[in-house]
Amino acid sequence: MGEIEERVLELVRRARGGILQSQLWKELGINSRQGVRIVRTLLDEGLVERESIVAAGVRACRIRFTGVIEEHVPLTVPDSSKYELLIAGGVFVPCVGCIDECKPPICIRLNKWIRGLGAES
Amino acid sequence: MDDPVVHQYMVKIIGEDGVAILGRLPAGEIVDEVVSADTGMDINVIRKTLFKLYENRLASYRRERNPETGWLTYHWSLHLDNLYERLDIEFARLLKNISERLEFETSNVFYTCKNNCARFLFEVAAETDFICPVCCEELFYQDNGGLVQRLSDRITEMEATIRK
Repeated sequence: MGEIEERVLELVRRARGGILQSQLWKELGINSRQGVRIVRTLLDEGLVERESIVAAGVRACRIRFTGVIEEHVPLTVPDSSKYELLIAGGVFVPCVGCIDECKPPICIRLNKWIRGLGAES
Repeated sequence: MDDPVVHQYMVKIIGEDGVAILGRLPAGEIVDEVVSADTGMDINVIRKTLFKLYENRLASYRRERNPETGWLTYHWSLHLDNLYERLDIEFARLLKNISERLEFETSNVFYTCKNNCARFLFEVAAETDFICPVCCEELFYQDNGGLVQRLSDRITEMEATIRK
């Protein structure tokens, strides 16, 4: 699923009683042609359903989320010792948020982290 | 956020200021302007933090346009439950990167001078007749056995946690 489909699904999921297609297009700043194609993808995957309604005397379509809406997802903490391997000598892995071209053999920041492996032992 | 790994990860993404802001955000859906007015925190820092979280899939927003003014209001929701999923991605990336580095270390021979100006591949050192082009001292073989061992150990540890 692409980013735009995810955004549509998120909006539909948040609107408890469903959301009008026209409102979706407005929220996303897309035209109806693009929007219908995205909704079609979600309909085909069974993630949403569409119903025809008459709103203020005008025919419209309402999109509803078909899945279960979780009220609160508790933060499940997996074995955190695994993630401690991201740290070497007190230095957290420098690749997080790095926007430089990735060249691990000659990366200066990664070098610094690797030196930390020596400090640990 | 008490977990030091999570804390360091968040600092990498949103900085110390962002982490401080995150700790003060109310639960549920929030509007940056309202939070700024209620807490007195700088709205630009709040927005920057929320957009950084959004880039890392730790927050999402929905926009509402005021029909009278045309202004957009962003309603933000945090998704910190995605945190460990994000750490898994970083874990896999690190494993790939250090494996690549190990491959580079084991498939090459390195030379350096007594002043440690730089590391030179054998091919480069041979071209300069084993003389350091920086300080003109003699280049000698550098044993990278320790480095290879440390990288191998960490890769083994990381792979073992994946197999668990």
